[in-house]
Amino acid sequence: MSKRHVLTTMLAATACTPSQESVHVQLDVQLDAAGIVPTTNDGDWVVELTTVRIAVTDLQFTILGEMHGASASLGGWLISRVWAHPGHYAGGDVTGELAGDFILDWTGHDGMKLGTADMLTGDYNGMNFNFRAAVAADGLEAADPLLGHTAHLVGTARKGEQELAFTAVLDIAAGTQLVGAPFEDTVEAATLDPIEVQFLPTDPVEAKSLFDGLDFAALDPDGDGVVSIVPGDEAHNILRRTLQTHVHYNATPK
Amino acid sequence: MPLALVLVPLLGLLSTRAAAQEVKPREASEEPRAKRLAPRPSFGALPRYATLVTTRRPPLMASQRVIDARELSVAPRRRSADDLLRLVPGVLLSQHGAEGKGQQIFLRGFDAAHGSDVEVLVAGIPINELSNIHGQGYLDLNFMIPEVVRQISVSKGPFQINQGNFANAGTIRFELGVDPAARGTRVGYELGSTIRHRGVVVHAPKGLRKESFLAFEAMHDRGFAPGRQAQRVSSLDQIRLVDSPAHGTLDLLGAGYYATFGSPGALSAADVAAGKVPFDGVYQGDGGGSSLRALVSLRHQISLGHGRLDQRVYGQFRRFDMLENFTGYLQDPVNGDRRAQMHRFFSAGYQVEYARPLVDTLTLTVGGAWQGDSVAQEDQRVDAGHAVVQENWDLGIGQHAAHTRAGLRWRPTRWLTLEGGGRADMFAYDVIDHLHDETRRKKVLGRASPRLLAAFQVGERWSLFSAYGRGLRAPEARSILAGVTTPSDVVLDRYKGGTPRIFPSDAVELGARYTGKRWLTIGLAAFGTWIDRELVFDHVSAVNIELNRTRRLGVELDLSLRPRPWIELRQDLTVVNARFVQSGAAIPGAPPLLSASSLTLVHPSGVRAGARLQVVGSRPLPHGARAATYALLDLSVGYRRGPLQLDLQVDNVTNAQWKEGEYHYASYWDTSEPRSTLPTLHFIAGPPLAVRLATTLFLM
Repeated sequence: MSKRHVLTTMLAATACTPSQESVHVQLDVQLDAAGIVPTTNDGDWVVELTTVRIAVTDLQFTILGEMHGASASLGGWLISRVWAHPGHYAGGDVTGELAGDFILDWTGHDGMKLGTADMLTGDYNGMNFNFRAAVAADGLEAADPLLGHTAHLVGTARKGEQELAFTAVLDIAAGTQLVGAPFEDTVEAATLDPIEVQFLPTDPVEAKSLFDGLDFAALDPDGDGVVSIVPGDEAHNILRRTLQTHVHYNATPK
Repeated sequence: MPLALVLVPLLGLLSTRAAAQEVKPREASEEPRAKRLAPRPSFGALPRYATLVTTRRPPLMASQRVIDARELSVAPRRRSADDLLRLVPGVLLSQHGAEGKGQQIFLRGFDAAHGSDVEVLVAGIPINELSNIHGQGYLDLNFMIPEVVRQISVSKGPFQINQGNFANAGTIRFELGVDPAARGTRVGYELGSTIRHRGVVVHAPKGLRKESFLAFEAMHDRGFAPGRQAQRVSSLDQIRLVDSPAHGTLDLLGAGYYATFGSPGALSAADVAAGKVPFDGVYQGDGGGSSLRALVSLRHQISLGHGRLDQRVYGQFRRFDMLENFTGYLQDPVNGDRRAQMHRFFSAGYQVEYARPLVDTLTLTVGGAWQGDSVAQEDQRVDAGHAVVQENWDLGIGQHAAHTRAGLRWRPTRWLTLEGGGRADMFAYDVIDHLHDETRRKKVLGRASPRLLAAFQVGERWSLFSAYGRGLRAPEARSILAGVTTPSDVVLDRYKGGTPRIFPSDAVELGARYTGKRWLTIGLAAFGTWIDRELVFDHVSAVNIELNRTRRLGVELDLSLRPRPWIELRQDLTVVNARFVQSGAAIPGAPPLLSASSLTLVHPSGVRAGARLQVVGSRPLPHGARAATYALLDLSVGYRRGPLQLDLQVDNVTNAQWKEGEYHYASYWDTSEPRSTLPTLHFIAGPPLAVRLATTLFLM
C-alpha cells in the first residue's frame, strides 16, 4: 500500500458528515370559534356562550412518538413532557411551540392570529398550554372583568321556559398546565396550513358539557334572572375544574 | 487502608503458595511452544502473547469472537478496562461523563444506554445492575485492571442458554488472569498529556496457574477539558486456593475499587456555534460522581465422573453517587435542574452449572443462578449549593433474580452440531417508597426463553451457522410503583403507563465462516431482532412507556489476515437497519454503520504495535435529527528490551474535533434569553489528540 493510498484513505475516513438538526416549519396559530355552539349539561340546561376569554401562556404542540397505540388508548395517550436524560428514550415530546402570553378571545376576535409557532416536522397528537392571570399588559381596560383572573365566560342558560344570563370569572393558579388537548396533524417541510385553536363547550368524545354539575336555577336565589359565578363559589370550583380538562380544547390544521 | 488490609495478607499468601507449590506441567498443547520460547537467561521470558495456544470449543455462531491477551495488550486507547469494550466488533461506546462513569453502549441496533441490552460478566459474575438509579442495567467496568484481563468473549444475540437478563444485543464476558507467557511481577507507570498519572503493579508468580494474580492500580487524570477529571484506585486479586484432582479447583477473587470523576454535561450545538461556550466547555463545573465497589467471589470447579460441576458464590457492595445537569434551567428557572442520585446495594449470588455427556454425541448441561440485592436509592433535584429542592425518589428495594436452564448439545456427525435448550427466569421485587407514606409494592415476574443453535462444517474450511433465541430484559424496581406514585412536579393528565413486565426479544442469526489454512479468516453474519412492545420506564414522569414494534436487521463482516504469526490485520464492519415496524421511523441512537480496521503486531524482537481506525456512520436522533459521522485513528507502539518495556499510546492521531455523544432534547441555559421547550442538538466533545507514555519494569 503506497503512502498516497494510506493518506487518501485516512482523509476520506476522517472527513466528517456534519450533524443535522431537525426540520423546522413556521406555522401561524389562530383562533377559531367554530366549536362554540350551545351545550347541554347534565341538568338539561342548554348553555350558549357569547363571551369566552381565557388567559394562557406558552402553547406547546406534542408528538406521540413511538409510544404503543394500545397502551396509548388506555387513557388518552397523554403524558407530560419528559425531560429525558440524554440517551434514555422518552416519548410524548414537545416538538412545536408558540411562546408568549395570550388572551384566547374566541368570541371577540374569532380568526385572530396569535403568532407563528416553531414546529418540527412530525405527526402531532397533542397541545399543551399554561393558564395564567390576565394583566393590564394584555391590553385590558381597568374595568375589564378578566383583569387579574384567568377566564371570563358570559352567556345564557336555558331550561324549558326558564332563561338565565350568567357571567363567570374564574381563577386558575398560574402555571397550571393543560396537557394533551387533541391536535391531529402531520407537519411536513412543505406544510403551510395555519393551526386553529378551538374551544369546545361539549366534549366531542363523551358529550360531556363544560357546565356539568351546575344547576343555574340554584345559582339565582334572588330570582333576578342573572347568575354571577366568582372565585370562592362552589360553582366556580366546579366550572374551574372542567375548564382545565383537555377535552374542551382542540387544535386543528385549517 | 482497607485495600492494604486486603492486599497484604493476599500478597503473603500468594508468595507462600508460589514458593511452596511445584511448577505444574504445562498443558500438552502449550508444551512445544513453551520450549521454543525458552526464556532468555537474564530477565526471564518476554511475554510472547502471539504464541500461546489454547483449546477452545469450536464456535457455534458466526459472530462469536474471542479477543485474547495478545490483542488486548497492544490495543490502542486502553485507558481502562471499560475501554476494552471498544475492541468488540460492532460495539460503539459513548462517554458522557468522564472516565469512571459507565459509558453509553450501542450494539446491533440497540442503544443500550448504560447496559440495558448488553449483558456483561466479569469472571462469571454479572455486572449489570438491575434497578440502578441512573439507568437499568448500569455497567461500571472501571474496577477491572486491563493488565489482568486475559480474554474477552463475545456472544452476540441471545442464542445460548447461559445468556441472561439484558442480553438482547449480546453478552460480553471478561475472563481474568495472566497467561503463562506474561507472568511475573511488573510495575508500570504511565504519564499522559492530560496530566495523567497511572501506576500499576501486577504480581503473578510464574509457578502458579493463570488464574492467580494480584493487581493494584492508581490513576489520576486532569482530563482534556473542564469536567473530565478522574481518579481511581483499584485492587483486583485472584488466587487458586485448591487445585487437586480429588477436590477440584477453588478460586478466590477479591476486588476493591473507588473512583471519583467529573461530568461535563452536554452542550447545545447552537450555543457552541454562537460562541457562548467552547466546543469542549461546560455550563456548570460541579457535575461529577463517585463509584465504589467491593467484591468477593469463590468459584469451585470439579470433575465428577464424566461430568463437570462449576459453581460460584459471590457477594458485593456498591455505592454510586452522581450529580449532573443536562437541561440547565428548563424545569426550574430559579434553582436549575441539577439532579443528584445515590445508589447503594449489597448483593449476594450463587451460580451452578453441571455438564456431562449422556452418550458420546450428546452432552447435557443444566444450571441455575440466584442473586439477591438489597438496594437503597435516592434521586433529588438540588440547587447550586447542592441543597435539596425536591425529592423525586427515595426507595428501599429488595429484589431477587433467579433462573434455571437446561440444554443439550448433540453432535451426530463430524459436520453437524446442534444445541438447544431453554431457560426460565424469575424476578421478584419488594419496593418501599419512603416519600409516599412508606407505600409498599411487591411483584413477581417470570418468563421462559428458548434457544437453538446449529453449526455445519462444510469441508475443511467452511462453517455455516444458524441460531434462534429469545432474549429478555426485566423491569427496574421503580417501575413497580408506576401508576401508584407520580413525582409531584410531573403533570399527568390521564395516561398512567403500561404494566411492568419482562419484555422479550426474538432474534435470529445466519452466518458463515471461512478459516484459512494459515492466514485468512472471514466471517459473515446476518441477524435480525424483533421486539413486540419494548417497555421503557421513564424515570422522570414515572411511567412505563410501551413502544411500538421494532425490528433490527443487519450484517456483520469480519476479515482477519495473518501474513505472519506476529501480525494481524482485521476489518470489522457492521451495518444495521433499525426501525419501528409500523411507522418505518429509525430507532433513535442506533448507529447504522460501524467499521473498525485494526493492526496488531507483536514481534518476537520485542516490538509491538496496535492501530485502530474506527468509522461511525451518522446516527439517527429523535425528531429527524442526525448525529455527525466521525472517524478516529488511535495508535499504540511499544518495545521491550530485557526487563524494561516502553509503550506509547496516541489517541485521536489526526486530532479530529469530534462529538463523542450527540443527543436531541430541550435545554435552557441562558436565562436572559426566552425559554424554549423545543429539542435541539446537544453534544459532548470527544477527546482530542492525547499521548500517553508508559514504562513497565518486569522484576522477575
